[in-house]
Amino acid sequence: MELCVGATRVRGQQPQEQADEQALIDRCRRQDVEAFGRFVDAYQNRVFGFVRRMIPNPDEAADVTQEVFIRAFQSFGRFDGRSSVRTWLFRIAHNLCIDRVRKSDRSVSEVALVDPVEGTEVIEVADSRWQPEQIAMNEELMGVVEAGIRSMSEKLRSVLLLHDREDMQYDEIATMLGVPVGTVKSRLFLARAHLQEVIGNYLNVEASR
Amino acid sequence: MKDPKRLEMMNADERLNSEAQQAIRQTVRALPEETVSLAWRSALNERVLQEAQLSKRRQRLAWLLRPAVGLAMAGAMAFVVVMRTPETKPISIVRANTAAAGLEAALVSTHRETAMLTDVAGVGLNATEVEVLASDEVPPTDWSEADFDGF
Repeated sequence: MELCVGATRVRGQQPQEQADEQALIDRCRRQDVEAFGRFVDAYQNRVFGFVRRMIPNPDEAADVTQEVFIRAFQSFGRFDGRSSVRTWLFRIAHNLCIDRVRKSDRSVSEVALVDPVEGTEVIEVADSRWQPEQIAMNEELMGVVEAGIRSMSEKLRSVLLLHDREDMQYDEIATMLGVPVGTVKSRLFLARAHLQEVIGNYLNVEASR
Repeated sequence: MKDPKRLEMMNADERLNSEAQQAIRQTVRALPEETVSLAWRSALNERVLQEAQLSKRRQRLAWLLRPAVGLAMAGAMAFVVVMRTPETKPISIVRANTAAAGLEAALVSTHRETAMLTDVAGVGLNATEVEVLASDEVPPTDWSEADFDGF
């Protein structure tokens, strides 16, 4: 189920579906536990996936995800519908993740916000080893991608996950993070370039074996 | 001439739409979905129920306290208004006037009483009467001529 009540709506959504969603949101605003349960069903895995990639410790990620939904339950009455409910929920998740990451001592080395040299993309798309579908099936490679995501700074990571994973628009992300759209785009470019480098290094090492 | 900011934005869009960047996008999208455990969901349900009960209690308390707080505020305002009324001066003037009128009335009443007592009982029996001697009347004395000769 995709809840999109608010500014952004999924194309092709039927008016009846929209009305149902609006009714569900209204019930959540009145702190209806049953309606909120349905809301959690719709978002729990996606929010957990986002938080899990923002916070490396799985137990901590589970705690933060619970906190996200508790905060959402507490403040549903203040949800004004200016943004979609998904954007609102991910904003809560992002803020809590940033708070948690800042509180905990981080020893993981992060990728700085430095623009890579033009034309130094490590992976050629024509490379036969470079197939996203293949990566999805290759657990080891998937682990490399996950590690690459974890090694980024929170700024790059959050933009990459919100755009490429959650399909959010640039302006939605910009509003959520409080930065200009241009900054969102440059962060996204840097994040992808970093992942390219990580995957490329892995593939090169594999090829040399 | 094109706006440099717009040009920069177009450049950024081009770079982000390159094949390599789009391939990374597909990779990130293809990552498996994380799933929460049933224990996690059960714990969340409990917390949500607790939160709902707490919220209801808070609302009930607010419902009870709101009129009390309103009354207290109204009382406090009334007290302040009464204590700060600038009518204290007129009241004191009225009181002074009343006091002056009372004194006047008392004087008149005493005078009338005295006059009536004098008329009824005669001189000497009135408590408010003052003994006035005639100016030519010589007060009685025990001294004799012989005493004066001694000086």
